[in-house]
Amino acid sequence: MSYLNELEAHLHALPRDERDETMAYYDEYFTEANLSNSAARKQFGTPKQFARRLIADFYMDADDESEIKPKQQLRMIWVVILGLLASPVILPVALIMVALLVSALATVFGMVLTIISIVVAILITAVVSIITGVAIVFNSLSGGIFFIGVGIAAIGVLLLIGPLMVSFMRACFNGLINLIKAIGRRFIKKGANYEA
Amino acid sequence: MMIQTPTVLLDGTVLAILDKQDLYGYALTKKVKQHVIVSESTMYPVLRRLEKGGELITYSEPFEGRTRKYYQLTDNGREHLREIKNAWQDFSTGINAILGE
Repeated sequence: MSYLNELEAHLHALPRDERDETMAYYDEYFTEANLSNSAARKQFGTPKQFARRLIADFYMDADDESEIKPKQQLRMIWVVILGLLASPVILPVALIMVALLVSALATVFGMVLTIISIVVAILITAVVSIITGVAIVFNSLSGGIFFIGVGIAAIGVLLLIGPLMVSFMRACFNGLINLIKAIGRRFIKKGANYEA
Repeated sequence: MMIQTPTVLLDGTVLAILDKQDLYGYALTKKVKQHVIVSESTMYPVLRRLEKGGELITYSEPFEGRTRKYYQLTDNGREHLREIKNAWQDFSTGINAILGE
């Protein structure tokens, strides 16, 4: 298999049109430079290493939120971790950065889980209260009205805090993405300028 | 010791070269390498970013049975080049006054 074929096979983490463009560029480049497979290996590293650098470059440059879909953002975390481990940064620093990333990821994940549990808890309270209220309203008018009231209040609380929580989660997630990009830019870009 | 070329100067170098003539990827990389030390893989992200930013446009031209994708400066690119040149003048004057002996 030629160098370029191998390269393309390792580029599946890129969006399709981006992959096509990248391949078209290097296809032309290799032809013009008259690069043999072994010369390419010398200049660009193994196809896998080169692919990693191209992917990292793409994700670090894509500032536009619209350019990266959420699924690709998750992929980016992985790309940055791999890039960090492969970069010429001294290993302890890379390990600290990876640890930082993983803990930030865990924190955001924990917060999202907490928020979801709170919302579910309030929802269950609301439903149970209303059902209870309706069930006992014929035995005890005041008790029934009380429980129905609690249920409706819980729904009200949910409507109030729901949008807040959604935007809070979004803010956490964007913060995480920016942190990842910052770390990636700081450390992986160095790898990009590194003369192979 | 080597001073790494900052992104803005790399952009400036590419824009200045393309201001003189349209070039395809490989020829452009060779020209850039005459002025700054860059690895072969540095150029693609730069070109991609400049093209996305509307500073370059591309067109294809046939050559010996294949095509070459040429990069051409737009007015936006020319404007950006002028800004970089001015910024570089200020910067280099200051540094030259203290380091350039």
